[in-house]
Amino acid sequence: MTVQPAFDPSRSAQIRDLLIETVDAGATRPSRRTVGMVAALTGLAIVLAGGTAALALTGVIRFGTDSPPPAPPTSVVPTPSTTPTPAPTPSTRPIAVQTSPIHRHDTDARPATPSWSVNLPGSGDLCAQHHVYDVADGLALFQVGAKAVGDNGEGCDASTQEVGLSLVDTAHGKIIWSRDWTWSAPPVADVDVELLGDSGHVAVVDQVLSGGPHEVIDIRTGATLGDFGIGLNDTMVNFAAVPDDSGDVIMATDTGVVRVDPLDVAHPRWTVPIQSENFSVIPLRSDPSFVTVSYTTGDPAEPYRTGAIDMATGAFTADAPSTTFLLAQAVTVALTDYRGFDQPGTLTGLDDSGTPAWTATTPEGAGTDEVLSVSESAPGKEVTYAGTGLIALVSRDSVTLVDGATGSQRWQASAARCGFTVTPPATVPTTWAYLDEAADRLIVESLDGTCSFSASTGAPDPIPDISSENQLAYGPHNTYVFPFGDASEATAYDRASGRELWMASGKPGDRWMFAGGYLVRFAGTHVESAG
Amino acid sequence: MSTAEFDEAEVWSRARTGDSAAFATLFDRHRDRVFGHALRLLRATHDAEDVTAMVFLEAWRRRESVHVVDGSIVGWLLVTTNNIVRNHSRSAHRYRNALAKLSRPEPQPDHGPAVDEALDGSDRNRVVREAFATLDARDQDVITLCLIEELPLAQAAAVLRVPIGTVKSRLSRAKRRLGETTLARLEPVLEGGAE
Repeated sequence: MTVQPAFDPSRSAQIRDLLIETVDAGATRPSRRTVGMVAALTGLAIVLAGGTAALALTGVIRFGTDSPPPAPPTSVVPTPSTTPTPAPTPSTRPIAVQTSPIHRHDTDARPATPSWSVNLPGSGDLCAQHHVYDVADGLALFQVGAKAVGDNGEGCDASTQEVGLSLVDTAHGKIIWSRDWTWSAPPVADVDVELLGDSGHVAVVDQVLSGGPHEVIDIRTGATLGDFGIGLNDTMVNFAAVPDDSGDVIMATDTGVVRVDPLDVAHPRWTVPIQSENFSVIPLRSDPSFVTVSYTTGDPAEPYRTGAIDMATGAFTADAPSTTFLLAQAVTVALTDYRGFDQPGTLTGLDDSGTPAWTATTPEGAGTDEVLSVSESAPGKEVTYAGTGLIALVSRDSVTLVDGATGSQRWQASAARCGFTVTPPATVPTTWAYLDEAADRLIVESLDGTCSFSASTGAPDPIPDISSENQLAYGPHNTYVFPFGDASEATAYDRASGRELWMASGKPGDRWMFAGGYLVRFAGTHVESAG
Repeated sequence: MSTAEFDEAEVWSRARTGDSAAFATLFDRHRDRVFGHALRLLRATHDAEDVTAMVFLEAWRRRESVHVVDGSIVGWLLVTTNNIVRNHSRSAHRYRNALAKLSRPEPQPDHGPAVDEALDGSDRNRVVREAFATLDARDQDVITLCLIEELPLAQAAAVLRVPIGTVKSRLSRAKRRLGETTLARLEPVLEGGAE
């Protein structure tokens, strides 16, 4: 027998009635956020302290029979609901977010025991999220938690939330400082950590404001500098760090976009009203001259448009066409004329002021990838490769290498030998492109494996292929391979020769990654050197 | 998502300010899609009904942060469905007074295996569902919007209020984590929706 699942009509009708009753009962009350954002922008931080209690309805629905009606905020100072436990340790090295790319160091040999290992604060539950942010050469910020997968998940304590942050010297294996926050909340959402440019400030913000951290800390010591005073949004805090030393953020509020130091919310540097139902800030490249805002128009024929805001003055240019941007490390390219949701037809390179500098048409069926460097990581971000200024246009049939500064095509080569495939609903191959500058090699990695070209001519430059069943990480000379489904194993190969250098195994759930430019194994709350 | 015949943004605008009839209209419009997505994740019809109720209650509770994207709130509803399914027991606790107002389901024959059959088609998709459950919250949301519900990338980005490049990178990462073989198994699951 086959049963077609269907909504029980009588229960559906009851739910419908319940919704009507709930709306009718609560319609006269002002919403928290409407009050909140207005107050925030006028310097009244009072409502920004509102926690989940302020979200409760006083009408039909309450948060449990034992809960009293929500009390209004009584203080202009946010009440800390977390339990910070700073444990700064004096450090002899200067600590700052590096302003140039971080060099990656290969691990050519693996000793019998790791050269260092450290244990970090944070939840050891299987559902704890893990993030690593590159700070500088040999410095990385490790985040353990929060817990964000199902409160009924195996090995996941549903009663408390926890997030730990630790600044680790990954060259020598020392914890410079650690912080740990615990609070009572279901393990629903993660905590966002954002390095605010190279200011040395770090925003630590509970995504759903469930009582977790909501503050700005000092990268040097881990100490709290103050409350992250803006950006309260029940679903997600939408802000972009200004990529300079100001410590400012660009934030989409209910009524517009504001540039403000989250430690000084009463004095925004500028505020730009946006007449739109929805808009969001799109962070751009490292140059801080402008930021783009995507906003809805209400016009079905052109539902989105993109505006540009001068980062320094707040001057708003609203007449940009509907556009998305290649959020590149080293170039800024507007993607338009989409043939499919993932297939832009036209690329427009933008200069530092946001002015179009060149335009190019993409090959049919091609996706757009920024070419990343195998030898460098980008500081100030969750671990990622640094950009090279090149763009690869990859289709099933061809690979085209484009200079991101000028739009000029360096070469186009056949990809027939690569066997790139397209998995619907995608309309282009899912690929990543890497530049091995020392070897003059462009590596295009797809779900089907790797395919290499001479970076200068596009001629085939085959290197030993690696099965598509693996996740890959690249160093200057080596390729590190982690099998899907069992990332506990790691194997290092000399990329050019394919010679196996070493192999190591761990436990399910382990992660191997570059952190501060050094390869490490990150397992639960444990970090150790790969070499 | 066409808005030519039904101005959902306008209806939501009325609903969020207390027009209960408008709110009910949106329930009518999106009930099956929310229910279908919850059913894929939960495999239990009545739990999926409860989740559907909770999603719309959340939409009212958090009405000032509901995102209208491309003229519709469906993306927000689907992401909220993910959140509530992840946190089913907590959400049920929050809304237990409300849910208590609903009649309990009529006793029925055990359709569980047959429901599974209808939704899964084969045992393989249980593996897919379990693989989906191992993704972190952000990856689940992007898989839901971009692959399962096939929202345009730009729309998913607007729903999640992240840059489109972030959606792309999360999608790529999630695909890699699921693995090509597992992704291929998603296709029968995609056909199991209620709409």
